[in-house]
Amino acid sequence: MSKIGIILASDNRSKAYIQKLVFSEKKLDKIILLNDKKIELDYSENEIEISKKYGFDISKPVKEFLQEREISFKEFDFVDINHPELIKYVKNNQLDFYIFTGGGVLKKPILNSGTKFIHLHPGIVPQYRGSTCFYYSILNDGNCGVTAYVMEEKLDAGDIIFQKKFQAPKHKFLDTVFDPHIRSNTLIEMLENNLLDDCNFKKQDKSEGDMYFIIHPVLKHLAILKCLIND
Amino acid sequence: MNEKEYQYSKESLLENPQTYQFTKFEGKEFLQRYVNSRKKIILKLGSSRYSDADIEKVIEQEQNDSRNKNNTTIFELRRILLHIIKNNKDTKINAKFEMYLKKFEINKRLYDKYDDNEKNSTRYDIIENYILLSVISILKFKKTENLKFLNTALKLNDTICSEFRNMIKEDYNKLFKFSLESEMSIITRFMKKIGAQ
Repeated sequence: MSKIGIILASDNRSKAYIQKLVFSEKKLDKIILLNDKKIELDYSENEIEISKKYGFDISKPVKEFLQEREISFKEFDFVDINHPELIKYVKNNQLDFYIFTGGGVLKKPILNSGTKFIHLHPGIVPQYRGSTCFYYSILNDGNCGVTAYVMEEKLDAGDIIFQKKFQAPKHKFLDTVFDPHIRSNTLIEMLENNLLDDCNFKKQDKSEGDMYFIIHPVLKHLAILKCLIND
Repeated sequence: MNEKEYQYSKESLLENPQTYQFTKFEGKEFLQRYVNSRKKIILKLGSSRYSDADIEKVIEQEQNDSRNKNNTTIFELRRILLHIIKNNKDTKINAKFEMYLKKFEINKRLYDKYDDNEKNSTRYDIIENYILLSVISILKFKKTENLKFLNTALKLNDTICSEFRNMIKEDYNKLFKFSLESEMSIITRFMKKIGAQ
């Protein structure tokens, strides 16, 4: 069995990941919380209700959730994945994999720490690399997907572990609720099928596909309206 | 009561770049505000319009007149534009276009000169560069239907609209009009398709 840890932050994605992992009784060998103590946002009743239907509570902060269940975790007061203190900690613990909830680029020192990092990207690669890909795939294909892959220096170009497609949602909370939901759902399915144990990952053709950048509000509105109007 | 305005091209985006991160969903009305805002600018750009053939002629002429500036962004962008209009498939030229697109998407600025993909100038206020990249992105979208090009064109056009008070040459006024009208026609087609009008 692979030894698996998770690196959380105080954001919605981490809320969905840790809550669904705990509720589905998945064993984690280490939990790290990168906590920049940012102020929790207020969510509408509708948002909270939809998140609960998806299996997590968006209004429950990560640290509070862990403390209430007396789950032990290591807390750092920074969010930089390339921070030397974090690299030292990761090296000392020598797990096989860390699930990394954040975005951004991992630099050589952390990539060479002896542990592999898994990212859940909201797009089917190689077609959809980069940012806010689910909006683009809703506009193009009417659905969206998630890719679990092993992180490397180049963005969204690592070996593919698992991919899953989802129907477009019938509500407007794509950033806050739907994105964390589809990523966490894919994570649970990947772990339930023990896909990290056989290491039978698929190489990506790095010359294929496209890199998307943050979606413009006009296209974002078109994507969300497409979800709502087609309801 | 003040009518709500399209907020993404109001203040100078070259001085205060817009990150477009986690933008708020404001319903169908937002799209109408976008259309109204673009229409206002198009009206200011006059009545004459460019065809693809006009663009080729104007850019070719300008390119011939400035052979000594062949390492500037404007020269490179004109070269890319001519390649696209002439339907040339040159992977190096395409890579150059992708480089400018990426530079703009990351910094929301285009510098006057780049050497080995790194900026080699402090000037980012040459509005003609933004207009050229916008026209190229629109033409690329028309050829490929790839939304990433339309996405960049929308951001470039926001930037140009936000700087509209600055004087630009007549030819570039017409180029900008071509880009804005094309962008709006593509977006209204999308709106119709999904029933968001």
